[in-house]
Amino acid sequence: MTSSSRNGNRIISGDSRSKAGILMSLRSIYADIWAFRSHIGIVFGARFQAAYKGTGMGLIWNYALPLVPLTLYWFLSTIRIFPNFEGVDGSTFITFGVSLWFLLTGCIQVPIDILEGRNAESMKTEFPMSASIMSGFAQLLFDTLVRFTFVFLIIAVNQNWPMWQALFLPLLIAPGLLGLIGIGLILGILNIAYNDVSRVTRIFLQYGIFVSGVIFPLAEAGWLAKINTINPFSIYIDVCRDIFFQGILVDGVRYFATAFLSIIFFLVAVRVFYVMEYRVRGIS
Amino acid sequence: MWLDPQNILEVDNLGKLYSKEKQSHRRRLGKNILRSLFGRSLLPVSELQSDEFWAFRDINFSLKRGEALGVVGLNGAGKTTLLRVLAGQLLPDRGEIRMSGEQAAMIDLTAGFQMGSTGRRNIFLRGAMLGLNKEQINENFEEIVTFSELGDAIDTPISSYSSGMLMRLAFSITIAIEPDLMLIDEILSVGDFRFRQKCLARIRELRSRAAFVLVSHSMNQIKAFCDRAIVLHKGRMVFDGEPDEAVRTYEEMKFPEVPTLEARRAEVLKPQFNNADLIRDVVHYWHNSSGDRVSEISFGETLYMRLQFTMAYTPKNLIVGVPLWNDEGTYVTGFSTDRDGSGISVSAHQSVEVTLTVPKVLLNPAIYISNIAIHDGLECIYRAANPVLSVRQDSRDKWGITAVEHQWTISSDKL
Repeated sequence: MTSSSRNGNRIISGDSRSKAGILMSLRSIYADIWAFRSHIGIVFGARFQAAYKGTGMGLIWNYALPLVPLTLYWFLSTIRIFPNFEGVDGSTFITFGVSLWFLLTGCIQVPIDILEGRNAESMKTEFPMSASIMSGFAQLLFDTLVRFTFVFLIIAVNQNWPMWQALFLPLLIAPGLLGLIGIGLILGILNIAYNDVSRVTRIFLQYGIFVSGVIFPLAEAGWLAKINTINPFSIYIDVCRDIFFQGILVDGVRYFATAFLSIIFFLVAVRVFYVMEYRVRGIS
Repeated sequence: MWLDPQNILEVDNLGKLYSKEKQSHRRRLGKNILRSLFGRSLLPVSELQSDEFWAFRDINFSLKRGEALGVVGLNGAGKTTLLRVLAGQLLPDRGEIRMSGEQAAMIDLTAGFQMGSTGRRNIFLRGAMLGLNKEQINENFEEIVTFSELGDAIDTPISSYSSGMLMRLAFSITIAIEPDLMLIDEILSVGDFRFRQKCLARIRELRSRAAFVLVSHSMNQIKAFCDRAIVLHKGRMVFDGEPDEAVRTYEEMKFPEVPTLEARRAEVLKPQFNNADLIRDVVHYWHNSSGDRVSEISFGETLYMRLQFTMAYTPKNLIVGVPLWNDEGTYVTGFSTDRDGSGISVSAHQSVEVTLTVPKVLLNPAIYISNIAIHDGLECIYRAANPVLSVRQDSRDKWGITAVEHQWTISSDKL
């Protein structure tokens, strides 16, 4: 569907989306998100307030739940189950990595969950799925902010202050977020046709943290270490840790090659999502 | 091809493909995902897979500002799917829709609502879904609440609302944006009679400024409201023209043989409703001045309707109404205690007897059918058919449906 504007002239046809190129897909999805920005905010606010309505702790759950896994890893670090890493206290190093892991995996999980959970409802409204996914990302952003607030508290306690190059961290991680959102969009669409996709993905993301060098160093892990040289989670988390705690980009070539591929994959995924968005509606 | 400037909506050769089996749908979807991933065009719809069928196809029409188009057809004819495609909720598989201006759809009452949230919050949710920002919704907020007549209920979760209350809320929000094109699916068949009239009045106000597509099973609504109507049958448009003619075509499809009198009456008198938890022992009949039940009366005679019932609770605002149709299904007149200022005060478990008196029946000789409808405020608690009433022919000729008392005064100058 081509919607130049919700108020202007519009043409809806069966094949107009399939003829769209990458730029037009990007522009149209952006236009949809912009048109529904107010709704995205209201939906996020409503879900935030309604999520734990009726529970004793109410809104506090919104802050507590994102911290549960983090506090567990922090606790294990404080009892010296995990070692220190290159001068950085183990609890800082691991909670920082785990927070990044949840952010990166969330980029895959959110589109899959939204496309799966709200697909049946979506065919009853003209609300675009892209806007629904954005409201899911708003929740992910909130959870990430809560987690990083906790991480900064640990940093302050342990006095592991970041290097000034840490300011580049958002820039360095951005291609990773885009690439993983791309994966999430493709898997989310595929999951409508092949229901097993979400289950397999969930298993990978749930246990992948243990084989991605987030908690345990994998340099000596043989074939697993080799796989990790092309594991995007490892690559982005390592780069972020290096730049944050040491101020250096240790493996620039690997990072830039991954970043380039991530952006290309994101662009392809956006087009696929744009072409298929209205074709998957109502299929549950 | 772009829109004719006169038109709000143009539909060109529109078609939507569905599958009987989900697996078939998924197979096509899976193939299309892989094709789009590799930059290839999607599977052509000319190659139908097993189990696939056209929900509708070859639909063509256009709509100008100020026009109202009715869409009628039997269940499964593709009416609601067509409306969803027009609303942009589903993508067509063939053809093109061109539209200008803002459109609003009332297809599914609860769509886009969050049932756990209050009516207040849902006004903002639905408003934003219709493209309004927070300031615009704030500007219209009071009007929406006033029109919906929800009062204090606006701050309670909408999960506790009745379907009538939900309809009032949904309609009030949608109408507040004054769309250029409004798509309505059976929505006006929900809720109480008075609010439906209020909605229709509001829609009439918008008639000159907007275009309407109305899907309805109520042929009276189609005839009263639409300028034109299309008839869908098995996904194909089999008629496009005058509403009266469209209704005739539809009824011929619905009743392939000449409909029986009972079938026609049942259609006109729908829906019937009886909430035995709220009201019981309901008896109602026509009678004459001696109190004898009658099914026939002479033109000009006095007619009575007796209604007896027992309330299971104490209603706040009890209203009794009697709408009356002739045998052709034309709405002739109605009587309401609300409109006539006759308040009914009754307590729980109290029996009530209500008598309607028509001092002089000026209905022309024919068979008349009617309902008795009992409401508590906006909520319908009982609606059932009254016994059929015939008005006898007297010696004078009669024209039309009803007679009006009148006299002629004739004067002439002497030559």
